[in-house]
Amino acid sequence: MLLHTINQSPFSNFSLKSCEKFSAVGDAVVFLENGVYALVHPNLHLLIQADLNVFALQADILARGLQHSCPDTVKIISYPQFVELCVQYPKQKAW
Amino acid sequence: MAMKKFLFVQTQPPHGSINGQEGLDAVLMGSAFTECAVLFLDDGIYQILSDQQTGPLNSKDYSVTYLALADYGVNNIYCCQTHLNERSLSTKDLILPVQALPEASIRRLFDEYDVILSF
Repeated sequence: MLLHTINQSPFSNFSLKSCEKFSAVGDAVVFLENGVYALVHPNLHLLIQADLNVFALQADILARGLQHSCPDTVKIISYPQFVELCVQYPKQKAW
Repeated sequence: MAMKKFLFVQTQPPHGSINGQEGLDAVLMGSAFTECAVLFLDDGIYQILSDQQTGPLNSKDYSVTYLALADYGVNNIYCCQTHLNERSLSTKDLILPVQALPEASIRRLFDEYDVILSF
């Protein structure tokens, strides 16, 4: 099981596409920093359909005013919860 | 404790940013301590395109340094066949021998290595 992190906007690179392509069922994905723009990207549903656990960092969502655009399929997490995820998934792939 | 295997993933083209060179430095250092492999994804594959001429750019052509990987015992060098195809490249266009893997095998690499470092 892998923890994928995306910290750049998927509108300006292939991070979302690559992450989806090179993931496996049960993997988790965390959107942070500019990666939270993935919440409003048309390809977000691909990750959900691929049976990945999708998370996004609350502080980064709020800072960018995206709090009203969060789909229910994405779990909003705090920094401590992010740390817990890192413990739960010791292996990470940053896209 | 068993020795951890490291996979270094190069994702950026050369010369536009420092990422590639940093990644290469990291592999060379890492290989002194543990088993290391390199995976070129997306534009990262351009780092090892043959015949880079960096003179006019006043920067060093570090692509030749990749040739030293074999001397450092780094023999597992991979790329994605799809990413080659997208760029009309074949492994013959590259400065060193690389195993081109189908997309499905890339995920297995992530499973095989203990630590994945992306540049």
